[in-house]
Amino acid sequence: MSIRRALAAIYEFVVGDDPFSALGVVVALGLTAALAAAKASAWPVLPLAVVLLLALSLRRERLRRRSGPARAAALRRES
Amino acid sequence: MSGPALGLAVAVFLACAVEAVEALTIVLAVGATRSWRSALAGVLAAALALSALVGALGPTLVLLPLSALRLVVGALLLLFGLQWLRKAILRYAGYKALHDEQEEFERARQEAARAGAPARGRLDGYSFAISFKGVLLEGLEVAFIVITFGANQHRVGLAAATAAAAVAVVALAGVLARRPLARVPENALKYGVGVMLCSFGSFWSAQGAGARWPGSDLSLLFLIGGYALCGYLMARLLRAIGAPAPMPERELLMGAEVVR
Repeated sequence: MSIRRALAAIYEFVVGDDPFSALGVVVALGLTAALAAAKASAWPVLPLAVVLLLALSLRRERLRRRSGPARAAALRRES
Repeated sequence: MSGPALGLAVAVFLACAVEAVEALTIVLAVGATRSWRSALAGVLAAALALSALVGALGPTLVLLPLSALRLVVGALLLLFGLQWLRKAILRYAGYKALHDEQEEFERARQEAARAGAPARGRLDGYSFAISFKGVLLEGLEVAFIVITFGANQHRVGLAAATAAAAVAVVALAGVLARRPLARVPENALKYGVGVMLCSFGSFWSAQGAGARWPGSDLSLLFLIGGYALCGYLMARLLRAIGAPAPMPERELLMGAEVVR
């Protein structure tokens, strides 16, 4: 297996098919660390981020599914 | 057994059971169609490879500083948990097809039959390779969960024993049934595992980043309950506003009953 394929497999294993959620988790952890360093209450950040990221991810999937057939119909009309 | 230890055992058991069902389907299809001996040899080889991996990585992870370990491992568990939860909700709402073990079994069986007859008395390379690959890939995710959960709580032994128990239960059920475990409520199990991974992932990664949870370990229970409730509400909402195409078969997300 080439290094490229190995890296792609690791990316698929860790990130999966939703890189925005992965990025969101990293940002939320950064914010948690910053608040904790400032001696502020940092624990609510991750639970809120998880719920928000999940909701956004489901919404993206729903819009993607809905726009798929509409986009295909528009392309057929153009051609 | 303490609360976090019990949570660890439940999460590891469920995750291992789900992956073991998928691996069992592949092994049963190849074994029944071509060669049981070669398929089981593939299983044994994959189990040895996984044991070596756990043996090599487990002790190394325990040596890392606890806060760094919790941050990295918690973040990874959280990413896994979000993937499992999202897929389980999409399946429940009809946006993704439910994983059908019977269908998967038939597909694998037909592929095995097309691959040419195995040589008599010799190890069948096809059966060995497919079994090895299936068990290794499904097992890798489980091994990762076992190592990370175990290392984080310094309970690698408990995590490994729980994983072994889950695999043994599924294997025994497969041997007794001699067919794919199609009636396992797999989506409900995946939903439960997703909730547990998100909860432990949030708890550990926030601790690793320096946050302090109110009520310490007790907050894990609130995380599990909160995520389960939010996920359930999202699933109901997504299903209520309409799936792209109705699914012929459904299984309940939170209940035990499977409708097929």
